[in-house]
Amino acid sequence: MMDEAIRFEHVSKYYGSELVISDLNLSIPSGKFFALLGPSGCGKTTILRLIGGFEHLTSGKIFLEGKDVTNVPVNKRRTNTVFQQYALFPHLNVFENVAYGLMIKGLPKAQIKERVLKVLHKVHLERQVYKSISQLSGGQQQRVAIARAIVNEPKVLLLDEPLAALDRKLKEDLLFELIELQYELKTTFVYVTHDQVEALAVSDRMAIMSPDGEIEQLGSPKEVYEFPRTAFVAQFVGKTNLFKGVLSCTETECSLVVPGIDAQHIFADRSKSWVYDGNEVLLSVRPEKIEIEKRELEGFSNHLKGKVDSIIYHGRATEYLVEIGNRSTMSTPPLSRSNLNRSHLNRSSMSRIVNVFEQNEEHFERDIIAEGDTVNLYWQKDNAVLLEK
Amino acid sequence: MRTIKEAIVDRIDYFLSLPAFIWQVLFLWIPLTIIIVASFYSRSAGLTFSFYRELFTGAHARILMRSLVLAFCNALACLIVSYPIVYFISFRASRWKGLLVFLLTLPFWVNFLVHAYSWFFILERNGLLNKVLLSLHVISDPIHIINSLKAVAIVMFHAYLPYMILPLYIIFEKFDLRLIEASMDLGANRRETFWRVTFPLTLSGAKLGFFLVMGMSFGEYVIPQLMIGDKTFFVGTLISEYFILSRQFAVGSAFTCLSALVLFVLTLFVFIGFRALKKGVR
Repeated sequence: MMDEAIRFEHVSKYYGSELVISDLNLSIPSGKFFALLGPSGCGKTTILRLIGGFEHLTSGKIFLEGKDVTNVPVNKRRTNTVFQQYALFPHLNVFENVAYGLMIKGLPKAQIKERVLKVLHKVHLERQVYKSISQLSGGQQQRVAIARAIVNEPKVLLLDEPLAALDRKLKEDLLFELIELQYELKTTFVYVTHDQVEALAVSDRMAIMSPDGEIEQLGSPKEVYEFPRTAFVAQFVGKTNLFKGVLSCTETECSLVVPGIDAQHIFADRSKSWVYDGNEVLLSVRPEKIEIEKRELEGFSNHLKGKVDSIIYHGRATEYLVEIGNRSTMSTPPLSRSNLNRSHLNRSSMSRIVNVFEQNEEHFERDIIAEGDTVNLYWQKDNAVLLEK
Repeated sequence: MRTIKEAIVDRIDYFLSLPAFIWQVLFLWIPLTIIIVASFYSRSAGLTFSFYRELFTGAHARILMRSLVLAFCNALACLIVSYPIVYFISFRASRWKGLLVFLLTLPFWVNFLVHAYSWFFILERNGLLNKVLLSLHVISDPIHIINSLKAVAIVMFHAYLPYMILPLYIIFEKFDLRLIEASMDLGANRRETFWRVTFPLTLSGAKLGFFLVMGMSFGEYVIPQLMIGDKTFFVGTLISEYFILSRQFAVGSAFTCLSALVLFVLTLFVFIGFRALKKGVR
C-alpha cells in the first residue's frame, strides 16, 4: 500500500524492565499532517524516536513506505527530525546548519547552495543566512531546525513538540506556516504534542494516546473532537461535561437514567456491543453545545435547571459554571495528571457543576446572566456523545 | 539617597575581585616589571642589551629548544591520551562518571614529591619496569631510563595529565548529546559525526588543556631536578641556577624574559594550529 507512510506491526518497546509501548499497531497515511497527541510520559516521543531510528524496538516491525526499516540505522533512514530544543549545531552558522545533510551526502557545492537558499527562503530566513545560531531568536532557531530537516526531502518529517518553547503568538504564526509548508511539500508530517489546540489545528489525522501508552482513538480532528470514543479522549481533547448514568433501552431507542435529574434523551447506536439495557455508561456534552438561557425555550430534547455558580470571561466566549441539583454528574475540572487516570476519574470528581460556553457575538447582550441567577440549560441529543468507557 | 551598603552591594563583583586583583599586582605585575627592567638596565651601564647578548650561545638555544619540545610533546601526549578517556567517561560511563573522574585526578591527592619519587623506583636500573620487561624477554639488558630526558618526560606526562583531563571533562559535560542524534538524523555516520560535530565542539577544552599543560611544562623545575639532578638542562633549572646559585640577576632576568617570549611565540603557533584544525574539520 503506497498510501501508507508508516506502519507499526506489533511494536513493543522496553526501557530496561519498563514496558513503554506494548503491541502497538499503527498506520500513518502518506502525504498527510499526522498528529500524535497524548499527555507527557505516554510514550509518544518514543514512537517518534522509533520511526526516526533513534531507538531500537524490542519486538515487532516498522515499515516506511512499505519497506521494512526495523533494522535500518538512523543515518540510512529517509526520515528527518525537528528536535524539541532544536539541537542546532552551535559551531555552524545558519547556512552551514541547513547544508549539513546535503554536505554529508556529498552533493556538489553549487547545488547545495541553491537548495539551502531555496529552503531558507521558504521558512522566511533569507536575511539570516550567514548569521550564527546564537544571534537568532527562538522562532528563527525553530525555522532553521525545520529548514535543516526539509532540505533533505525526507519521506517523513518528524516533529517533536517543535513549538513547546515558543510564546503563544509566535506559536500560532508558526502553526500556520507549518500547515502551509506541509500543504506545499506534500511530505508526511508526524507531529508529536501534548497540546490539543496545536494538534487539532495542524493535523489532517490524529491519534490520541492514553497515559498508559495505548492509542485511544484515531481519526480526523473533527471526528475526535465531536465523537470521542472514551472519557479520556473527551476530556483530553477540549473540555466536556460527563454524565454518568444507566442505559434504559426499548426496542427502538435508549435514554440515560442519571440519578437526581430527569432521564436524558440520547442518541445511541444499538449496533454497538456495549449499548444495552442496564449498562452503566458516560455521556459527554461539550460546553459549547449547551444553550444557557434565563427564559424557557422550546424544541430541545434535553433540559436542565441550575444556578450560575461562577462566570469566567474569556473574551471571544464566556464560560458559565452552573450548579445543577444533582450529585452524580461530573464535569471536567482542569486536566491534571491525577484525573487523567481513568479509574480515578470514575470514583471521584463527582461534581454538580456543568460547564457552558457561550460565544460573545454581540457587544451587549439582551439577557444578561449574573452569578446566582437561575438558568435553563438546553441541548439536543444529537450533540451529546455516549462513551464506550 | 543611596546608603553606603547599597553602593557596595551594587558593585559587589568589583569588591569581591579586589583581593585577587591586589594579589596579582603585588605578586605578578610588579615582579614582572622589575624583571623586565632589570634585564635592560644596570647601574653601571645604564640602558643596555648586553645581558641579552650573553644569551646568544648554542647552549642557551639548546636549552630553550629542549624545554620547548618537551612542553609541546608533553601537552600533545596528554591530549592524545586524555581525549579518548574523557570521551568514554562522558558518553559511556553514565553511572560511574563521578568515580572515574575522581580516580583520574587521584595523583593530585598524593604529595607530589612522594609520587615523583615512586616513579624513581619504577624507572631505576633495578626498578619495576626493567624487571617486568626483562622477565617478559622484551629486552635483554636493563634499559637506561633514570637520569635521562625519558624519565623527565614520563613523570611530567603523569603529573600534568589531570590538567588536561579536567578542562576536557568540563567541555564534554556541557556537550549536548542530542547534537549527535541530529547529525546522525541528517545522514552522517559515527565517524563523520565525530569529526564534524563532537570534535570541533570539544576543541575549546582541548585547547585550554593544551595551553595549561604546555605553559606549566615549559618552566618545569622540580621534576628535572629530581630525575636528572643539578644539571642545567631545562629553562626552569637554568633560571634557578642564575638566580639562586650563581646570583646573576641581570642575565637571569634577561633569560626569563627571553624564555617567556619564546613560550609566547610557541603558544601563538599552537593557537594558529588549533584555528586551522577547527577550520579543517568544518
